[in-house]
Amino acid sequence: MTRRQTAIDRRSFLIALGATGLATACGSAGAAPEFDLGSRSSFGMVNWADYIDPTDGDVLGTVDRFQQASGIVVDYAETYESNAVGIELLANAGGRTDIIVPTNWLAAQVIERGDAEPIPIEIIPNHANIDPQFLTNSWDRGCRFQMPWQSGLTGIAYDPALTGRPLTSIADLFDPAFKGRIGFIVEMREAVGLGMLLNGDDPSRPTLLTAQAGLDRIRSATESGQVGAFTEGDFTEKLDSGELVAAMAWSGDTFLLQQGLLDIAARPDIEFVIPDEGAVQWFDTMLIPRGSSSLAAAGEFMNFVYDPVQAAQITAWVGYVSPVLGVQEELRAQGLPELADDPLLFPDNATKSRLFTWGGLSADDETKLETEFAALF
Amino acid sequence: MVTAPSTPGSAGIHLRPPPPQGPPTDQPISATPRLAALGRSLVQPETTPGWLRLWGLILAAALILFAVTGTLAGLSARSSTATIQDDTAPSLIGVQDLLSSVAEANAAATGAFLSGSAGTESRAQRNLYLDAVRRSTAEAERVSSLVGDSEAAHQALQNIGANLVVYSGEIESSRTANLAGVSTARDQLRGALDITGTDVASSVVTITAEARADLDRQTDRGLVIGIVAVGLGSLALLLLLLFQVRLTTRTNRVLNLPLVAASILTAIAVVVLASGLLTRNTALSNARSGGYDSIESTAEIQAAAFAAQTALSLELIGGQATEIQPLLDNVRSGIDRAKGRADSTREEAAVNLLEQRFTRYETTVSAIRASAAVAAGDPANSAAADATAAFQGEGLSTFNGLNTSIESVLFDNRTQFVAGVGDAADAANRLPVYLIVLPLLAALAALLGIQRRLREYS
Repeated sequence: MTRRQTAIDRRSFLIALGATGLATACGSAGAAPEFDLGSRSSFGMVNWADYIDPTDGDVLGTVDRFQQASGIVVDYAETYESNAVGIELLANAGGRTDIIVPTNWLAAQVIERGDAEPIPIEIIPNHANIDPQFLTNSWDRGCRFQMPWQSGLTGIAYDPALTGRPLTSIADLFDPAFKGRIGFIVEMREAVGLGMLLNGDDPSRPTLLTAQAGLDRIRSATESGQVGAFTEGDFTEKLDSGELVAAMAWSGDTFLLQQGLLDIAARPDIEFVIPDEGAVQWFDTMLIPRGSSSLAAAGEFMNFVYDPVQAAQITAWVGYVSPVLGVQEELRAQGLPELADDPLLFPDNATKSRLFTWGGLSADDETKLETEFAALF
Repeated sequence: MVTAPSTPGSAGIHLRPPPPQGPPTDQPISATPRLAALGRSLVQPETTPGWLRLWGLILAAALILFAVTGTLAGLSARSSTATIQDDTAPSLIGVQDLLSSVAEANAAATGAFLSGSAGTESRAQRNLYLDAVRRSTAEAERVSSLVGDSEAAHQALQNIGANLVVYSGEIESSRTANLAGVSTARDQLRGALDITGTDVASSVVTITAEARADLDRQTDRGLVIGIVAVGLGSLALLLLLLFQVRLTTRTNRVLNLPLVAASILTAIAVVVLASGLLTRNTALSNARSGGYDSIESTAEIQAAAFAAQTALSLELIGGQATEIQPLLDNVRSGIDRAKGRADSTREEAAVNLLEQRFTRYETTVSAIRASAAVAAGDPANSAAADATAAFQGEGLSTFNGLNTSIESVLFDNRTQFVAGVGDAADAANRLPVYLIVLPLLAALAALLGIQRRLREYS
């Protein structure tokens, strides 16, 4: 999965936020914990590419602002190319990586195996700012072992000029009129999740039976030639070129396409919809692998990025749904109402009630589904 | 020995003479010479060998008695702690889980009902309800396998099982009626809530009382025999020391190493037993005060929060004000108590997070109730719909945040309780082995020491 940056020029906004954020951070990041959580001097973090605001000239990015405010050295790398990297990093426990960003389903597996350190809430008062919708996952109620990093939606993006009608249902992706010009995402849990929603099943409570039925929907569409391509973030290019008329799509990448923030011209006419049956929501997490010797430093960073001022800066740059309460108000206060009111960044309550986060199956069942799904492309 | 048959006329073979005849059968049989000597010595303690043998017997008896009582005390402590660890503690926790699951089912059922009457039943609330009922039933079954022989507890669990079936049925009936727009739906819902508020709650109180009584019994089990064993061990040690002093004055020998070793082993055994029992009981006491009492207290916060959420739903469903504020006040005072009780930085942080999320929930409840109050004064006003929508959105969201924070505090409480019981089990587990080995080794050493002195007289 590619986490794309928004190339938006928000220099003035960043400067304003940077100044405010620095002041806030100086107040909170300097307090030393009164107990031993390992080293506070430095920590390592491996993130998805372009998934945090970088330093841009005089304007410090989040990592640099944190280093300056706290005196903690961050060994930061954007080499988390897929969740397979996360699995490798976890296998090399004892390495120098203290924060990784696995997607929710992998985080669930890691936590269930006991391979995650408890979040050091002693030094993260901003834990209170986690949006409650992320607190109720059955695999980590209360976010005791991870804190959400960014979240996105998998729904339907389409070109109304080519479909000739609005698309509102997942069933529209199976309309023979669009045969060979439909795109599906290569991520099993999202594709199967949409298949399950079409069947009236709940992806947040999957069973092998319902997940298989969801997969069967995808399989039959593939075998009948309905599916023109399995894509990652490149569904935007295929929609733009007209190769696809509609696709399973990530909200953040569609947002970039609409805003003209990709290497292609803006396509505000491309629609993104949350189907009537609902959409799949996913999120990436900040997780500390078991054995980390820098919980104190990692915890301070987590607290820093959960300050709404800092989180707003990240949201403005990455274009995904922030799990931090107060970001919307912060964006509005900073004079960016177009971001604050964007429904893809801040889904309203009615929309949230139609979002489903993959609930997870046993490791064996998930592997079986992964294998069957991968055989489709 | 030649075994050839003795036949008449055989020559050249010398048969072994017959053994001497024993005493006439009318005379008493005397003991073997060794036993006879011992008997003479014992009845003649004024001789040094006799005196030594007499002390040997006394010390061996004292140490064996200590070994027996100490082992029994250790076994009793180990067995009762294992019962607490495997049955009593999980059943105490399970009962609290059962109660909070039922309370959550109530809150979710009313939430789903409210959304159902507003047109679209909330899937999230419905799922929460189904999960909570499933957990309640599972917890009841689990606790049933843990409560032991208590007739009252089993009866209470049977009542809970039966009541949960009736409760689920009533909820389903009210749901169906509600979705169909039948006016009696609300009364059916209230009836279902009454079942959990009275029958289930009273059964939970019974089970909790039984489990607590069992915790008391198991904690005290083996205590008397433990004290007796420590007393006997101390007596044995005293005798050993006394004997060595007397031996020194009587035989002019300064040091008898095996006897010194016996004294040290006995002293170690006494200390191991006393400290083991003390550590076990202290750990159980800490687990109870720092863990289980906190679990109960936090569960009360949770129950009050669920009750407030249920009351809010009923207020929105019925359009009439309910007594939510006292319930919110209960939550607030519970949080204040939890803050005072927090004994680790992590627990303090968890309670602080809980407080912040509760404050957020309180603010949301006030806003929802204000909209509902406006709607009550002016039915044409859209405020009722606004209030319901706000309940479905922010109300549920902030409540879920609050609830997961309570769960986090509960998790810390449970960890502390289970760890305390685990410490007690660790302290008790090795006692029987130490208390059979050390006193017996001490007895052997003592006898060896005496034997060395006796050799000087043989």
